[in-house]
Amino acid sequence: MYNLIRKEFIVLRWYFLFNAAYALVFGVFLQSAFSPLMVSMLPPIMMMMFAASMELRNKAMMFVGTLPISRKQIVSAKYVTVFFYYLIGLILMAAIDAANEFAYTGKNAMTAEITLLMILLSFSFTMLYAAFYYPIQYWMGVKYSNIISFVSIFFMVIVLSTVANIIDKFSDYLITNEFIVIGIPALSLLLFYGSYRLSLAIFTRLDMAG
Amino acid sequence: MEQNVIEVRNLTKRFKRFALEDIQLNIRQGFITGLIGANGAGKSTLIRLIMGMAVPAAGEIRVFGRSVQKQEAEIKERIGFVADDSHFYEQLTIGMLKTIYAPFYKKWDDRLFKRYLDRFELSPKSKVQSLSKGMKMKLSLALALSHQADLLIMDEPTAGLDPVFRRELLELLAELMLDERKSILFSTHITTDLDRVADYIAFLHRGSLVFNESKEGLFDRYGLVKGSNELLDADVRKLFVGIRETGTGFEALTDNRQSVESILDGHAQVERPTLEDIMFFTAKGAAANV
Repeated sequence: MYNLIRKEFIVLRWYFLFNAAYALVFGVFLQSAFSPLMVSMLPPIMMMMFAASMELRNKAMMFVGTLPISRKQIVSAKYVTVFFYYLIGLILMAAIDAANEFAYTGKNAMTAEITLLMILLSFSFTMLYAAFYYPIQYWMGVKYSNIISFVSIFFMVIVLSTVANIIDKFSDYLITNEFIVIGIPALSLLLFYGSYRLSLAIFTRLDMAG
Repeated sequence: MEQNVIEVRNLTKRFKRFALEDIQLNIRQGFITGLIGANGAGKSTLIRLIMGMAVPAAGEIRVFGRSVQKQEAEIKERIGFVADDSHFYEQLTIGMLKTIYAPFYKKWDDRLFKRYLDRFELSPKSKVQSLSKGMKMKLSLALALSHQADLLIMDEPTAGLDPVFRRELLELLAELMLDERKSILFSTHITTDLDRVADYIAFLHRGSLVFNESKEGLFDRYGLVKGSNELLDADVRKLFVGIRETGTGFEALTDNRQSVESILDGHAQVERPTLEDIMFFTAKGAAANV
């Protein structure tokens, strides 16, 4: 599984620059209260899309399918990679925050604040997005990845805007309520695991498409 | 004692317009087996099933005595696979591709890989997308041969290649076979390649296995019969797998050469057919036999 994750990072290495560019745009130039949330979530969402497009362009399943790995390892690697992408998102979020602090200190400018709630929510949304995205991709095939990405992002926008409204109205309550703070990430992880089992069940029953 | 490197039992795979039905096949260790058949006969499907890349509707495949469905990772460690089309990341250099590919194999031999690159005149700095079809095939071979695979599976490796490299490839396969533990399964519809190197021939036609036997046995059994049309009465026609009639006479394939030789003794010529003759008359048999 380690080699599969390594492969993904080598193949997509130039695409990480896009993440940095987007982080700069949304974290610095188009800054809003939700910039940290966006910056941390963009890498996993974008890299999942880039990976699918790369697989489609290079018939990568035909390559992966010949390697000495099981189908379970292929699916597991996909899901584990999401955590690494999210880690990149967190690093970018911290870097952008530090850059903003440095640039705006003493200038009376508002910078978006990183809160524990924001980190937990971005983690939960990332897990939720992957949990929604991968089973559909395994079911429909990588050739429909553009449609799947579009549907997943649409789904996420609805969820995000709903949750953003809730946070806006009940921020104090949410951050002090331990059940919500622990419950949302825990629920998203549970969904993520369920999604993994579903993807595995789908993938072991289907032919690998080129 | 002869051992089977691949054992296929009651294998069935169905698609909307095509099916592989109840395939029974043994691929022997230490030999080159050619898998022949027209385009769409099911060769690639069978190979994808053997590689665990397709899921059968029924039946079992065992490679090195192990079930493909249950132990695919261990099995693929010992298989070198060459596809009919490039499936490598096009934007990577050969060197970078190697750094991805090599760690998957416990027995990867870097020196051997470099030797193959030198032999095939491939530079590690070349990008995959800059390679011609022939060069991509060479790269695929170099990767497949550098982890000391016991079984080499090649799906139409010579399709679209120039005759010089095709000959070079066949020589390379013959070299590999000097090690008796190695086995090769080689699918193609260019049967002249197999005339040169194959020990066994498996023939797939419309999703069914017509035969799987030694090349010599095949040429003993099959005969290409040429004679005048007057010989073609109903009883004689029954002796043939397929017949092609022209104004000057007929050409037919029999799978019972001895009987035909004794029945038509002195009235018709019986020659050794090529694999292409066998494939052509079997595939077109029903239509040509009218």
